[in-house]
Amino acid sequence: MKRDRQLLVLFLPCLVFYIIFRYGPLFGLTIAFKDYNVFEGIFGSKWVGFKHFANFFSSSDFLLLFKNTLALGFLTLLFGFPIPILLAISLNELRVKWLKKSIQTLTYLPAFLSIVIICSMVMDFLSPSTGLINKLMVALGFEKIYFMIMPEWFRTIYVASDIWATAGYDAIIYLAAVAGISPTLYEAAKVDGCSRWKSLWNITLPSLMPTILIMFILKTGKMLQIGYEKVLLLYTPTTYEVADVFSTYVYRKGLVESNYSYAAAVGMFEALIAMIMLLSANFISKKAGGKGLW
Amino acid sequence: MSKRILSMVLVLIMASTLLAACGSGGGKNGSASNGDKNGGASNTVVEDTSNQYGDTGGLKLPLVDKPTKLTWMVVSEIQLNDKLIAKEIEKRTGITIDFQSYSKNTFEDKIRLVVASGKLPDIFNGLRPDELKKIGQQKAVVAINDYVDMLPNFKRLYVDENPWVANSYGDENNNLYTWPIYNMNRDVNHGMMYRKDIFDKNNIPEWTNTEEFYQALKKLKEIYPDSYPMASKTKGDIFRDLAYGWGIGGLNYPAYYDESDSTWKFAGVQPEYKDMLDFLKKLYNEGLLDQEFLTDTPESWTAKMTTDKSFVTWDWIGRMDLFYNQVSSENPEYDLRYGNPVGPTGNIRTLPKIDADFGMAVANNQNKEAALKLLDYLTSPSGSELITLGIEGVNFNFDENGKPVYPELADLPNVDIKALEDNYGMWVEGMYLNPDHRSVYYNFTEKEQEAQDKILSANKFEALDPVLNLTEEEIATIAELQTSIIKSMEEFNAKYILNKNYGDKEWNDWLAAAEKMGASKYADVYNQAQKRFDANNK
Repeated sequence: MKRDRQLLVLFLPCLVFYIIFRYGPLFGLTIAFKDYNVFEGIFGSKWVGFKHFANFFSSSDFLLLFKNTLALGFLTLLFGFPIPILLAISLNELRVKWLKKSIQTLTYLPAFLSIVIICSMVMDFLSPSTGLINKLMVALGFEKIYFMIMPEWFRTIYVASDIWATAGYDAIIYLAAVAGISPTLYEAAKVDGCSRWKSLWNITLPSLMPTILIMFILKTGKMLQIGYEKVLLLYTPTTYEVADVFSTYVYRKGLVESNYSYAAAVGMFEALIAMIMLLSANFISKKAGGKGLW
Repeated sequence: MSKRILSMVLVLIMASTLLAACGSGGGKNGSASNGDKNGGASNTVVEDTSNQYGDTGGLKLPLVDKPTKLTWMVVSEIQLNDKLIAKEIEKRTGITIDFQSYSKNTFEDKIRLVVASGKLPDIFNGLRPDELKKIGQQKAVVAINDYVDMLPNFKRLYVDENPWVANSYGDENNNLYTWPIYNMNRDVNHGMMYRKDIFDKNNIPEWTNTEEFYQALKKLKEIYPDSYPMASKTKGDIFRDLAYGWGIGGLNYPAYYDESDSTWKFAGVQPEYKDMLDFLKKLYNEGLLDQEFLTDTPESWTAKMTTDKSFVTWDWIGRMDLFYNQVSSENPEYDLRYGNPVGPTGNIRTLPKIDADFGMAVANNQNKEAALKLLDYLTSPSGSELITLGIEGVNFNFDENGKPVYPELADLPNVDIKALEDNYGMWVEGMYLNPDHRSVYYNFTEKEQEAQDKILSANKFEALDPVLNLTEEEIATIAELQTSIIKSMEEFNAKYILNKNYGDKEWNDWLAAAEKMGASKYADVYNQAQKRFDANNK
C-alpha cells in the first residue's frame, strides 16, 4: 500500500471516473422496480417489486423478442467472427504491397460511415427498381427480389451489412497480432522444409489463438447488444416478426410511450443475459484452453 | 528524496487538473443560470407600450417588469436567437427567448429525451395530448385554466367563445395542459394529386370515382409499362391517409367515430377496411401501385414523381408547386394538380378549426407566468401579426391589393413561409398560435386555389369526429393496447397486400387476432368517453 501510493494516486482519476460515470448510473436501474415518475424523481416514486418483470415475461412479445435477439446475435457472431481473422491472415499472406494496402483501406473504410448512411446504402443497393443488386440479378436472368420486405431475408441483410461495415476494422487487431509473431519461427520452419500452408497452420494460427479467444469472449458478451438504430432503420412492418429485438422494444416502450420503468426492466433483463453469456464463455474458455479474460 | 517529492507533486497536479476538467462543465452551467436570474437591472422603469403595437387583446406590454429569459424548444433547422422576430419579441415584451431549435427529423426523439431527463424547457411542443395530460397530472406542465385571469386572449378564444375546448382537450377535471392553435388550417391541405400534363397528353380524363381512378392507372400502365402509376412516400401511414375515402378515417385513427350508428369503432377490423386493402392489393398486383410503396423515402419518391416513373400520389398540397419548381427548367410542361378523392365516400378529411394536437405546453417552474403571458401575447392580433405577417414598415409592406410584400426577399421566386422562417424567424412550428389570414400562407397559388374550389364547392369532407376527453386510466389502456395492436395491424396490412396468397382466410385470422389483442376494448374506451362527452354537452 505504502510502496504503491504513487501508482494509487495516478489511478485516482480513473476510479473517480468509474464511480461517477459507470457505477453512478447503475443506481438508476432501481426504476425497474418502481412505478417511475420523472417529476417525483427516483426517490419519490413508488416501489412495485418485480411487477414490470412479471408483466414482460408474461407478455406475448417476450418469446418473439428473445428468439429474434438471440438469432440475430448468434448469426452475427457465427458469420461475423471468423471473417476478420480470415481477412487478416489472407492480407498477411499477400505479397503485393499496393494490393494489400488498397484492400485494407477499402475494407476498413465503411467503419467510418455512420449507421444511418450504411443503412440507406443497403436500402439503395437492394431496391427492386433502382438497386444495383436487383439490376445485376435481372441481367443474369433471375427474378427481382424485394429484399427489404421479405422476412426471410432480413437476418441475412442484417448480418451481411454488419460484416461489410466492421470486418475490415476488426481485422486490424488480428493484423497487429500477426505482425507480432517472431519471423525466426517462420525461418526455422522454412529451413525444416515447411510449406506456406503448413506454416500458416502450425505457426500463424496457434500464435493468433490467444487473441482469437479473447476477442471471442468479448464478442459473446456483446452478442445480445444489438444496436436499436440499425434494426429501426432496416425494418418494415412485414419484417417485424424477425426483426423486433429487445433494444427496439425498449426504445418503443421507453421513449415513444414514456414507459420508463417497464423499459428499464426489459433493458436490465437483456444486460443480465449478456453477463451470463460472457461469464460462461470465459468459464468454458478457461476450462478448454486455460486462458480467459480474468 | 527530493526527486520523489517532486514526482508526487507532479502526479497530484495532473490528477487535480483532470478532475477540474471534469467538473468545469457543471460549474459553468450553474453560474450561467444564476446570471440569468439575477443579471437584470432591478430598477428599470417599465413603460406601458401596449398601444404602440396594435391590438394586444388587453394585455399590457411589456409583459414583465424585469428582464426575463425563457427557453423555448421549437422545430426548426435554423438558429433563431438573432433573427428579427426574436429581437422584436424581446423589445415588445421584455422577454428574451433562448430558442432551442431541432430539425423535424430529430425533434420527436429529442423532446422525449428532454422529458425523460425531467428538465423541461420553459415552452415546448411535440408531445401527444395523452402524454401531456400524464405529465400535467404529475405537475410538470402548467394547467393553463388556472391562470385565465391574466390571459385575456386565451380567455376570449377558449373560455368565452369556445367553452367546449377545456371539456374536450383537458383532462377529466377540465384542466387544459396544452395551448391550442386557433384557425390555422386551410380547408384543403392534403390529398390525391395527379400529373395533369400526362393525363391530358394521353386523353385520360380525371377520375371522379374509385373505378375511374383504377381505369386511369391501368391505362397509364399500358402506355408507360416501366412505370408504377401510383407512388407513396408515407410508408405505413398510407392506410391512415386513405381511410377517409372509405369512411373510416379520423384524427384518433385507428379509432374512428361512425356517424351512422353513433359509435366508435376500431378501423382495422371493419369491412370497409378490407375493401380498402383489397383495392390496394389489386393496384399492387397489377403493377399500378409502386412496388416499394412501403419503403420509399421522400427522396426516392420525389425521384419517381418528377421523372415520369409515377403520376399519382397522396401528399401535401404545396408539393404541386414545389415539384414544378424543381423540374420546370427541364420539363416546363410538368403540371401536378389536385385530384378528386379516392374511395367510396369520395371525401377527404376535415381539418379542425381549433387544434390542440401540437401540444404547446409551459413547464411548471418559476418562469411559468411570463411564459403563459408570452403565449397569450402571440395569440393576440398584435402578436399573431408579428409571427405570421411581420413588422409593417420594417420587413414588409402591404401592396395595393392588401397583400404583404417583403422588399428584402424580392429576389426569391416564391416567398413562402419557409422563406419567412429562414430570413426572419417567422412561422416557426410551435410558435404560431393564431395565424393572421393576411399572411402569405393564405395566398393560394393558382393550383391551390383550384384544389380549394374543387373540394369546397362539392363539399367533399368527412365529418369531424368528436374530440373526446380520456381519463388517465383510459389513456393508459389505449397506450397499453397500442404497441402490439398497431404493430400487428401494420404487419397484417403489408402482408395482405404484398402476399399473393393472402385472402379471406387470412383476413378472418387477423380479425380473431385483433380481437385477442383488444380491438373492441380499444373502441370501448372511446365509447365510454363518448358517453361522458354527450352527458357533458347536453
